[in-house]
Amino acid sequence: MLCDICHIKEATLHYTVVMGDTSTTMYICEDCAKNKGLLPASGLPISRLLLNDANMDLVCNRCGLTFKEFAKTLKFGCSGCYDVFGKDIKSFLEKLQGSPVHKGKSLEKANIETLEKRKKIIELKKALKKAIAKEAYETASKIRDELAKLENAV
Amino acid sequence: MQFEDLIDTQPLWLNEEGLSNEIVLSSRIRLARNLKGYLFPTRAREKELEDVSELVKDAVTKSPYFANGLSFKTKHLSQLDIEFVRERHLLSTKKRTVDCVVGKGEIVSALINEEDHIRIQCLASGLNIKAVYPVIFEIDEILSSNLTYAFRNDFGYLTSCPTNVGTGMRVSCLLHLPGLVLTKEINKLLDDVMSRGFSVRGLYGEGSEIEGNFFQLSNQITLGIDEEEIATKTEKEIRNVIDLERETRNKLMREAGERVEDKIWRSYGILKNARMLSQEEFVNLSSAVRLGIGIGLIDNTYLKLLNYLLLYTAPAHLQKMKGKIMDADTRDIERANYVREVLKCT
Ligand SMILES: [Zn+2]
Ligand SMILES: [Zn+2]
Repeated sequence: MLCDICHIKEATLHYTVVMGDTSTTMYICEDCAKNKGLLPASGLPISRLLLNDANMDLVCNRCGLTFKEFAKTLKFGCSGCYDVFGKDIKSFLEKLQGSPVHKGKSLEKANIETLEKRKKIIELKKALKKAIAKEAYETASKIRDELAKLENAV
Repeated sequence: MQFEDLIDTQPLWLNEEGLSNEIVLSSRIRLARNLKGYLFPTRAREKELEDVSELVKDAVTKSPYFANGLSFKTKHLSQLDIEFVRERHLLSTKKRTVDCVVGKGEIVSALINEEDHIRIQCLASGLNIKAVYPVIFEIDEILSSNLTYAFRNDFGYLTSCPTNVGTGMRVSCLLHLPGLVLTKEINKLLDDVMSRGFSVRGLYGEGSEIEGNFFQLSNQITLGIDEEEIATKTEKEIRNVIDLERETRNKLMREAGERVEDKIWRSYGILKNARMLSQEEFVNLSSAVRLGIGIGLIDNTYLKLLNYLLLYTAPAHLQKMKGKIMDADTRDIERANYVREVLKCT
């Protein structure tokens, strides 16, 4: 097997990176291991290695996660991270998973409306509770009507 | 159903049915999903997590598999109860923000706000990936028509950890491989298995030690491969391991039959007579008896009892059964008493 870094020399060492509930193995030649300063049987250097070409200054504007933090924890903070880090994540995922492209089930057109309605329902239910607690029955009955309408629509 | 009723009901995946049950204890598929528009649980605020929890619980209970089930929050559980649900494979972390919804018989369960917003799993006893597969995707369908998942066409289902992205799907089987361990062929096999893109862990999942010759084998790759292929390839890999284990058992009996038989009957004798048993000792002795059943030495009606004991002699289960916190020595005594009592009635 050829080295995963230089793709020239024969790989003699393998490194396992454990993250979350799974792990990945890389096969590397001795020279590359020395050059990258890799410690045997240690996960962290590999994760850095996999990401070493990435732009560390990127920040996700949705959740505030920096690429540096991601490189350390290897956990995304939100789905927006995939948009912001997308380009750099692609090559990382290819190394990690062997492919950067999803081939499985595709999601039917995302139904954002439904989600919005459900959010609204939760808010109305809370308001209803409050109204009842305050004995504001007229408000409560209005909220109930609105809820009934929404729940029928969902 | 109430949380306190759990201890008195046996999970259905514990029964000894299913293919290759002398080697495969259980099969499982889990899916990781997140909701669009909400930060992942590690970075979300409490209020946001509460909203997610309400949305997901609402959607989950629309599936008939979750009818007459149970729902609880880890926040409200004692330390003992957390251990108890971990032993039951309903939970894999000690995180205190998790909501858990469990279907009747514990065949299906959903974890909300663990590492991802949603983790749904389906379990069956024996080698039964084909039975689990349609169930988990039926639940997924219901969820996806009631919720908006975080999804991109290029990366698939978006998850907190990049090792789950794509299908978010993990297929695993719990295997009992004493033959391969005894003949020391296990290490080479595990190397092969891992080099083909599968991972292997101990009885209780992430970070747990290999105990009692139990191994959890699962797919590692979730991206660039579709769901059916993951299921088929993992099952093929598992069938290969089962064949090797059977071959090794035959070889072992041919070459060292007396020695193996002696080990099995001694273990059986200790289980039936011991006055103190640590969990480790129980797991190892019962592994030998399980091998005895596998090679036809001991009647296979024992298999169901062993499966049951494996769960109910774990520390938290033992303490829940007795209804009190016990120190290690007391647990060992109660464990031995319990094992004797259960094995006596056969
Ligand atoms: Zn190299
Ligand atoms: Zn983010």
